Amino acid sequence: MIENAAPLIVHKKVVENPDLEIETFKKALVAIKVQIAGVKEKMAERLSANELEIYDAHISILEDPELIDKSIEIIAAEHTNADFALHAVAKEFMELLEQLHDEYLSARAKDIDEVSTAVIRHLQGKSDLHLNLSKPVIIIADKISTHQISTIDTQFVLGVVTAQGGATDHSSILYNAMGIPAIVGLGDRLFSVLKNDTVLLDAEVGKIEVNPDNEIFKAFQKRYEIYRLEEEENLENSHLPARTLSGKQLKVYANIGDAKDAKDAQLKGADGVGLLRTEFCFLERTSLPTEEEQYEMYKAMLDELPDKEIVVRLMDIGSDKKVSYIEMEEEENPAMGIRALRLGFKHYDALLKPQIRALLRLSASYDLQFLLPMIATPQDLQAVKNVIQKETSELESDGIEIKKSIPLGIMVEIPNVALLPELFVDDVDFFSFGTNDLAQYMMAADRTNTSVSEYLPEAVPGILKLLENVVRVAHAKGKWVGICGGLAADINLTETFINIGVDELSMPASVIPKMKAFIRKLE
Amino acid sequence: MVKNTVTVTDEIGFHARTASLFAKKAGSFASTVQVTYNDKTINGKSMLAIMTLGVKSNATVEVSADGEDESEALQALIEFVQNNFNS
Repeated sequence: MIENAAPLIVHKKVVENPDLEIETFKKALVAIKVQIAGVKEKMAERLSANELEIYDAHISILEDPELIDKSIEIIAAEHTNADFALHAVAKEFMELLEQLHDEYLSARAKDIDEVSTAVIRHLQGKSDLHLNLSKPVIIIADKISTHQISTIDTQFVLGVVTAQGGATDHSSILYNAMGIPAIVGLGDRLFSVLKNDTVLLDAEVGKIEVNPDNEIFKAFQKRYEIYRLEEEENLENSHLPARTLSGKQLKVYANIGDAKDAKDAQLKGADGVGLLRTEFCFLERTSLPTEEEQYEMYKAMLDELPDKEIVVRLMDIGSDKKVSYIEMEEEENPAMGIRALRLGFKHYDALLKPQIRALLRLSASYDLQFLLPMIATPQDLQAVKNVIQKETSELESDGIEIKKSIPLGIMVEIPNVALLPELFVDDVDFFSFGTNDLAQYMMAADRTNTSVSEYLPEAVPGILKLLENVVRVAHAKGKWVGICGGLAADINLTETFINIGVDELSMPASVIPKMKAFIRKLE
Repeated sequence: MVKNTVTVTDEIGFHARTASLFAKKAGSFASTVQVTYNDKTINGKSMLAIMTLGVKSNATVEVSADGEDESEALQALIEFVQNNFNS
């Protein structure tokens, strides 16, 4: 049950049509860029802005004119394969950087290695990890890049063990998010493990056993069996509603950001989607996504979740999520500046209009609800309602069918909304707490600034109080309240949320089976 | 073609962040931009190429621009480095 990540092998070949090869090369660059952007988006709520910069650095490498032009020159001049050309150019840059004997710049050489390897593997038509799996395996590797992790097929990968890495690096966080048992940083002794050895991986205690004797194997098997049965039972029951023993029912929804997440949500028994992030349409592109492109991207996600209630959040770009194709002014406090719908309105025709139209066009075939981020005042809310009305009329006059009265909710992330839900309650169908942003605004602690991160957990008691307030006001008018921020997945708070009367919790899909099982055991 | 010299005062020199900022700025102009350091001249629009120069803090580099907006480009880039990569 062991598989080694294959080494990179690049052969020089002659290609008949260099122009076609150049096109293929450009497409591969875009594909890996999209992949990196996807990983970044997944990590966005878990890492600080400084830590997230690594992904931007990787994307800059893929956009570097020298790297691209030199590779293209080689392909054109020598009629050679793109993976060979890129390999040669990347190697040259890496050598130049390493020659400078500067620890920092040597680390950048590793970045080039990681990114170019991903592109080369893509060009070679191999999945990033080059794992053609048909049976369950444990992957043993020196190290696995964060891009590679995101491509792991969880169907066949039982777990991952790496020689390099530490518990706090990005990869550990990613494994966790993906629900893959993993141990990182076991050191060189890992290389004594041979292909087809039997490996016991106990990620809970952080230990592996190679070719265990009968006794150890049996003890482990017993332990694993109990764990597996529990997981299996959780997953089996995860399509059932989450109802407490006393009969209180909670909607357990998933947060999704791409089609893969959507598939996972369906598999893990999400009752619906409480937060469909639309940012992935906008980030890491060099041009505006058109209405048509957005329509297709949303549709691909929605098709994974037929008949489910889907809460789509309108764009939340700006602040730390910058895009190059819209001019954004440098702001002292971007988290409190022109972001989300504020930015959408500033560039209405380019940004907000195509998104609203794409979503409206999908409303007739899917059970969509709209969630508006960064609403501070009733005027903010009214402005969005007005444009939705306007775009609906325009589409209808073109003969396109739009669902009547699409439910509309607002994020509770700006304290004003949490304090005075009365101002909004008559004009919305639901409220959804974005606990991460709410915490940063409550504590005046920038969530991307690690030196003030200790303030954020301290916001919890205050958030509970605000939840009580919003639930009271909303329920009096028959409206529902959900949580889609990080706190929703915190099992230690679930009982409190139920007692407060929260109607919906939206979380990463991997947590859902366990969460539902937990709720069913509550009074 | 126009050119001028400037001292990189950033405490690490041209590292990934500053190189990337410079390359992006250079990329916003139509002119060709080149940076010369220790007799080596590279494409100023490439973050990777800039990093391979190994420019340390307080080193002086030569920036040149060639093209229709060369004066504007050169002035903007020199000021950008002088302002320690704040625009």
